[in-house]
Amino acid sequence: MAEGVNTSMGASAALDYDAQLMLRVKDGDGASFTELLEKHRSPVVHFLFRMVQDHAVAEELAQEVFLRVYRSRYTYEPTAKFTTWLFRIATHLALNWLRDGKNERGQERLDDTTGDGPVREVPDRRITVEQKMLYEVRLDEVRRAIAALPEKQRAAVLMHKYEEMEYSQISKALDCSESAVKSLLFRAYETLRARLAHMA
Amino acid sequence: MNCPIRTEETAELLLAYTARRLDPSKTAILESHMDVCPECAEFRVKQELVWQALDAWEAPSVTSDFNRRLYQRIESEAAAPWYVRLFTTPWVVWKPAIPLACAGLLVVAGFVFDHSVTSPASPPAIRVSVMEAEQVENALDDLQLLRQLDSSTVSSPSETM
Repeated sequence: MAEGVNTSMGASAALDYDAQLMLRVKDGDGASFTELLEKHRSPVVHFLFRMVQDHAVAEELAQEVFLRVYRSRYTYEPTAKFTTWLFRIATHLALNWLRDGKNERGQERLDDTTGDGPVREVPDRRITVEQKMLYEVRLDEVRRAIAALPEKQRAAVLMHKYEEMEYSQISKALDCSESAVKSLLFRAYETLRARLAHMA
Repeated sequence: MNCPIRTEETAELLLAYTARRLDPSKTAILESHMDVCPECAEFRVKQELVWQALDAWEAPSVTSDFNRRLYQRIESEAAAPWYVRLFTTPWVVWKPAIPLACAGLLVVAGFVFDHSVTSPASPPAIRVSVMEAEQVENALDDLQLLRQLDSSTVSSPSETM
């Protein structure tokens, strides 16, 4: 699906600075690709990390995302917002990885409570051991709650919450209707409210 | 105002509100509604807890050699032989060639089909030529017989009289 997004967004796409950068990449401007990479590298890796819950796999998939973007430079048409296209590729790769059953190792890590791994970093180092433990327990609950969501609901929540994408963008990234996205989000947040409400 | 959590469609208003993405006019209407609707007020509290929980989940920073590894892969792909690059080319590049390939396949299939239909017709053609030879032979025999009859009638006219 690298892979054009055949949806017309007309004027908004014309104003999309990232799409303009991509058109420059199409014309052979390597610096524009670097600019796109710098801008979107972290959001893509973070999204993939929350999808697959494995940092190394997330980076590997993110590499594949940008590699596909680069490969598609000659056929790129700015028919949709660049980020929509980018997250469509990322979602496709993440869902494929999850469906291929490559996440067994990730699930093992999810059950691992040894406290290692980058996700368990605590930002504020002045907190007490007790607070740190509580933080880790809560974080683990959040991760489990997200991991327990069906794949499409998970992708929709991550794009909605962390990437602040609009329903129309999420629908294009997930290749479904806007009403389907609203339904996915409604059910996903309902599940999360039930699972995380006690964390007050 | 109708209670937004009663329907899935309108619940997005509350989601947008808790995500602080609702425009001020709708925010004011919803806030006044939540003052009198305990269901919506509870929804807001629980959804805000979900936001807080999700906010706490920080993703790790990207490794410093991410770009280097990516450019290395790009360079190795560019240096790969043409037949290797063929497989990494996005399928959209091949899109214009698909109708052409289909047309070519149709032509080849038509040619093969046409030949497979006409080739069994050859034996009857041979049979026809064999039949023609037999007919000619028969005709010649008939002619010879007629000549013999003719000569016999010429040689003995008195006998007939």
